[in-house]
Amino acid sequence: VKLDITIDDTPFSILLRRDGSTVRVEVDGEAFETKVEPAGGDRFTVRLGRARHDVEVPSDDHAVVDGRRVTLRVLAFDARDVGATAGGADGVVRPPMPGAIAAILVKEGQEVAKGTPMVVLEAMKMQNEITAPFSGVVRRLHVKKGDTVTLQDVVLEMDGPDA
Amino acid sequence: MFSKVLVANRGEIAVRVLRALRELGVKGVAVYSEADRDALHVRLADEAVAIGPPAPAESYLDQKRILAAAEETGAEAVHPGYGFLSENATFAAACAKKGLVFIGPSPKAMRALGDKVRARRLAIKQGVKVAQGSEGALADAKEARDAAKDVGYPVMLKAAAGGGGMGMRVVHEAKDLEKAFASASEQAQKAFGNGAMFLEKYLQRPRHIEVQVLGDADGLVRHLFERECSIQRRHQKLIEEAPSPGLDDAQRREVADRAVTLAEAAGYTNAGTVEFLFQDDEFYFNEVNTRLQVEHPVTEAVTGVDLVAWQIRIAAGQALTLRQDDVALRGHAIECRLNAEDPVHQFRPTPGPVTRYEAPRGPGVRIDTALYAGWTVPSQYDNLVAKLITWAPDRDAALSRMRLALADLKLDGFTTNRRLHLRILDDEVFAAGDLSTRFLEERKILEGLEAEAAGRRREAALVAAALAMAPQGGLGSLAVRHTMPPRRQAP
Repeated sequence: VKLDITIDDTPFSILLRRDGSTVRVEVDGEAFETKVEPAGGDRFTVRLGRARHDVEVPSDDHAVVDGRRVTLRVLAFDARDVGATAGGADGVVRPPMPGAIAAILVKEGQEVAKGTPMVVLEAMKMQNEITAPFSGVVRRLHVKKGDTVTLQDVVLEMDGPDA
Repeated sequence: MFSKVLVANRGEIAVRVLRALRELGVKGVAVYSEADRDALHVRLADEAVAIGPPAPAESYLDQKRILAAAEETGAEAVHPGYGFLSENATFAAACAKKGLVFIGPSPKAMRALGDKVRARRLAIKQGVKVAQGSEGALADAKEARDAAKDVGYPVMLKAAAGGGGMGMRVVHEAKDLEKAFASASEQAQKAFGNGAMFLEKYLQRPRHIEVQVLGDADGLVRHLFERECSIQRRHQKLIEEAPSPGLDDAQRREVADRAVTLAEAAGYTNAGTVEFLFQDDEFYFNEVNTRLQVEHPVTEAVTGVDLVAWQIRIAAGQALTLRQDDVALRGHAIECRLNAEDPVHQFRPTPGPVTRYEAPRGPGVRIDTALYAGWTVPSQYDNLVAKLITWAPDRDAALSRMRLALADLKLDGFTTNRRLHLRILDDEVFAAGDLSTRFLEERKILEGLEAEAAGRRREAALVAAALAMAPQGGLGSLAVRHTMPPRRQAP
């Protein structure tokens, strides 16, 4: 399940996977393993590491965490299980921000190690490197220097252990 | 007065200048790139002319296209705002050649002060103290090494044509000098077409103090006191205020007098800013910005003088009727620059759609911005999206108003540096006014922000985990509501 929410006006992009009482939550790329037990009504005891937290979710406009009320807004909800596509693990690399392609540092067919800079994206007068999400081979480049890209565009596709 | 003026800029500053033109009863012409078709400055102008593709070099920096737009619309003057062509003496001269008034200083004054080596020489000649350093431009790394030896390390290498932190390097030891010299010079050559370098003694913990000046065609120069802009990240100003909390009245008069001396010597007209570094009760001349500054609103707030209106009047040939004794400081003003950037992810740019925008309100609150809900912040330009300015009778009250205003601003759709501002405002050393350009490092502000963000992610995980299990009000009901057409947003 993919969920975009704001808590106290801060946006978070969340991926959820539930297995019984274990809920694996990924918040902006950081993974948390939680155990959730019902505590009556809308109240739950959420265990995270050694800590136990009381969390109440009476509605989708607010929640109460350990007695502190936070405002909650659900911006987008996608019930499909999209966990596997996070971070380009499927080999489809999209830009982290809209911008213009300033340089392409790899060729089709080239082997790249995880973290290798592949494409330089210019946004707001800053150069940003798009790096390989895993070690693999660049299968297809979808952009050329000077192209303008949005978040939905595909920069390149990679073949690798997971793809 | 002019009847029509072209604004050769975009974003909040174009909106600000158009506003001043309307107040003066002057028609405003906007220019825009393809990326700015829906921009607010285009909507607010009396006329708008498309000048080319999104890339700045092909639109906002394209002198030919801008001059053609002025000719086509019958504009009599050009206001360059800040950035883009604002400090380009060649453009100012090209305007004059076309019979257009460039709203700013003369090309001669721009050249004399825009070149940091020349400005430094002028300051020395006028008895305005500068940091110990090289006489003029350094011929090569060897000359730099000799100069650095005289001055003593650490030294700051600076490009004569530099700006915005480009072409600047702090060097702590002789062995690093050669490499730093080469890379800074190369960067300056690439960015400004001029690789000339000089060096100065590096000041460890200065305040950044700058003085606003206005000059008219008759050679009259007035100052509008100082601003303190010590809160910076990588030489980019983040928070500015007026007056400086670090000066007493004698120091305030002293720095203002030095700025006026320098501006008079340069034959300066229109609005300009003379920057100084202040350390151990001593002012060192830094540079002159021959244009309107981003942070001009704090000066407007404490002096009640409309700087942009004066720029236009002076350019139209009106005398500066402002008497120095009439310029008085009243209260305290502070400005926070809201940028489309993510401070907890290496300050990466965050251009994107504006899904909600509600301006903060209340006494002493001003926001200069080109934002509106439904617009998309383009990725091709500067990341400054709004300037929040608060004024109050004293500094503490201005800071409280700023905290409230930052909290009240409703801005969704893309990430800004708002939390960074709140963190700085909540810092006790900041509140005490003990500022320096090293503030962010000394107070470990970014580290604190990272820790705060980690705590928030953890809290989000807890809420999401509970939502995943909640039978009602949780994901079950969300699935129904959010997979249907989006419901109307609550106001």
